[in-house]
Formats: sequence, C-alpha cells, structure tokens
Amino acid sequence: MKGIIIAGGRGSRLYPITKVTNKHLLAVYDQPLIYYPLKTLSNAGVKDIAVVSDNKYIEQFKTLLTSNGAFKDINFNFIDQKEAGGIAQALGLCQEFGANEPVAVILGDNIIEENVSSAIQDFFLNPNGAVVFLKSVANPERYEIASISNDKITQIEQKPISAQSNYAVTGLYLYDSQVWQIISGLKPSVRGELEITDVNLYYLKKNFLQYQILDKHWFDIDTFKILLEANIYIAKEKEVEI
Amino acid sequence: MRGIILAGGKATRLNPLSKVTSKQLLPVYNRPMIYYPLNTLIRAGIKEILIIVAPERAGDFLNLLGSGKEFGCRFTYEIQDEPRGLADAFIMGENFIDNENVALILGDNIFEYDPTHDIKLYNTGGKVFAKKVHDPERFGVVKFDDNMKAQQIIEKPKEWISDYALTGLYLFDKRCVEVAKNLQPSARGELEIVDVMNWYLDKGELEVATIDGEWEDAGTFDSLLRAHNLSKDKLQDKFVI
Repeated sequence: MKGIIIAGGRGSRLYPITKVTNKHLLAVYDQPLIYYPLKTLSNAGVKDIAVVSDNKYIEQFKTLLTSNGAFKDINFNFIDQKEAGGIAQALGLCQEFGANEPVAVILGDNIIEENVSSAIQDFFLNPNGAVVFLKSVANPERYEIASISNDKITQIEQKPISAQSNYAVTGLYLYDSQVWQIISGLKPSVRGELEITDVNLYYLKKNFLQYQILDKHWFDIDTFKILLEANIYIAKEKEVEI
Repeated sequence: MRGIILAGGKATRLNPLSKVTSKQLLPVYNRPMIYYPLNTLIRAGIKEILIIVAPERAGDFLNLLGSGKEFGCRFTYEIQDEPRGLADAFIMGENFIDNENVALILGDNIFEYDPTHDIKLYNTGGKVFAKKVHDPERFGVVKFDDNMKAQQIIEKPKEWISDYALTGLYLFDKRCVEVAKNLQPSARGELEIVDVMNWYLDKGELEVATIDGEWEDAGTFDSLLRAHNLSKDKLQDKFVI
C-alpha cells in the first residue's frame, strides 16, 4: 500500500511561527504535526510513504522521520516540491513513486482522530474509484463542501457562500490507479494551481466517488486558534490536566 | 543596559519536538518562543541584545531575527558550542557587555510580569526575581527572612527550604563578568548562575523581588501547553514587537 503526505507550502497564515519552521514540523502537544497524518497511514498498514515538501525542509523531514524508531518499518521517499502549485501539483510529482498504483493521499496538516484503518485497508483490497472523508463543520463557508443526496455526493463546492450542506471534505483521499492519468490531464485553476478538488470532481462526474463520514474530531491546522485547540485536545486525550 | 538572551542547549526533554528545531523557536501560541523574552527586554527599552545560540540551529535564529533592525534594535550573536552553565553567558558576552550593566534572560522564560520599571530603575548590584511554585526542587530556590530579605540561595535543593523559585531574568552590574570567570564548575560541571547570585548576596548587594502574574519555564510539554494559554489569554496586548 502506498501513501503520500503533502507537506509543502509557506504556511503564511501562521507567520511568524512558520518563518523558519515548516508548518508540518510545528509542535502539536508532544509531537511534530506531521506525525499525526503519518500515523493515520502507518496504523492502516501503509508502509511505502512519500513526503512531498519544499527543498529547504527535506533534510529536516529526513532527519526527523528516519531517525525515529517508531517509524523504522516505513520505507520513506522524500520528494522536492520545488515550487508551490497546489496539492494536485504536489501529487503529480509523485508519478514515479505511484507507478500507476492506487494511493492514499493525506495533507500533512490534518489530524484525524477517527480510526480510518479499516476504510483504508478495504479500499486497497478492491480499489475502485475514489473515497473522500467528510466531517460536519459549523462554518462551511471556510471549507470545501460536499452536498449529499440519497447517500451519494452530488456536488463539491469550494467555500460556498450559501452552503447546501455542512460536510467538509477533509484532507484524506483514497484514489485508484486512474488518479495518475487524471492528474496528467489537469488544467490550472483561476488561481493558477492544480486543484485536488478537480481530481475529486472528475471521479464524481464518472460516478466513482464514495465517501465516509467522520464522527470524531478533525483538525485542519491553518490558524493559531485551531493549532491551540489541537494542542489542548491531544493533551486531554493523554489525560494531562490543563 | 545591555540584554542577553540565552537560547542554547539541547532540550532533550522536548524530543521529538526539538529534534530538528531549537526549543526557543518552537511556537508559543502565535509567536516563536524567543519572541517572549525578546519582547520583555525590548519593552524595557533595551536596544543592544546578544543572542547566544547552539551551533546546530544558528542559521534559523539569524533568518528569523536578522540584524534587529526590524525590531528597532541591534542584535549580536554568539555560538555556544557546548552548554557550560548559565553563568557562561557573562563570559561569552564580555566584549558585548563592555563594562555596562546587563540583563540576562533565558530564551524559554515567559513572563506575565513586566520588569520595565525594575530595569529602568536598576543601578548597581544584583537584582533577580522569584516566584512561588509547586515544584521548587526543579529550580534555583531562595529562602527569605521575615522581612522578605533573601537569606540563602540553593540550586535544586534536595531538602525543602522555600517555595520561591528564581526565574530566568537576572540584572547585574559589570562585575558579573569577573565573578563568572572566577567560578569553579559545580558538581554537574556547570558554571552556575546561583553562584553569581551568591557572590552578590554575600556582599549584601543582591535584591530578590517577588513577582506577580504567571511565569512559565517552557521546558516540558505541559509547561509549553500552559505557555500557549498564557500567551493567548494574557500576553497578546503586551507585545511591542
């Protein structure tokens, strides 16, 4: 099973704490942020993992991840993102690593509390189409939102002004081997990036997009407030008195 | 008055967080940790600041803080190859201190207390700051007499003498450089700041003030977490940088 962690970007919303530290290396209570998505993959048995990040942080990721005994059974690949151009662009740099096989993709700043191991394992047993993971949120205008009708995703919208649903698309995606061809055919969006939403929309159009709803906490770390909430949440899970 | 921030050390207690970054660069809510002691000095009007760092992460500190111009100050950097104790800061900083008074602050100390008046009114001798804690055995500890005058200072006392820990902010006059140079390393092989304080205490020239407000010495996961909350709830409007 192959997995990809997307850990690039400038993290400018978290400046100045991201001025000399990659966002995915920031502390969340007692572990660097990237440990959380990494464990989501490795707990499911995904042992071939590519980490995509900016050139200047690759060495730090290597040092951090390969010297830790907890991850000794993982075969890491480190891929230089060169320039920021969207999540799907980062994915496109993994064509060789992916070798036309199915893949689990996770964003390096996503902490998913739910145990998704069986969903990942089931997908790899019979990879067919794509699976996204949805989480009900209070402020849908901040997220990519999936509308659902009769247990099917009918639409995906980026930060909708008047949302028809409050199910956010989280940063974990399972793709069958078609994904590599889809990415090769993507066109840049209005903001000039290759959008992961467009990959999901492609699967949606072909009627190959499945979903699972997450009941437990999901953190998409992109503000100081959410970073603090995640710190407190993780500490409480470890029964720390605050 | 010159300022020194001591931001060296290996911080193994915070592994794996400090594995590829320096402890003093870890985020405390919305700013890197070192911004907090830096703000404490700059808010008190100190403009000449020496930052002592470990060699592994020296480049990160330079990239983050630069010349000091952005902060209206002048920063100087020294690289400490091996941690040799807090008092080593005065030896490393001898040229920088240049016979002036000096405020030393530890790069992981986050104060709610604002020592601006203490720093502005300071003239000579030693002035240090104590705070009541639950775990005095982790710190340098001061015992007061009935008039709250410092009587005795001991580093990490094995037997209880007081609940007052000495915080990581120290004001000394130029004599601290010679005092530090003449210190013998302690049993753990370090030049102890407690011994510098005791030199001033023996001369009757050490003032130990007790401080209000929260204080965190962000050396453990839990104190780091408390520091995040302290910053968010109480320090946001205290920043001048």
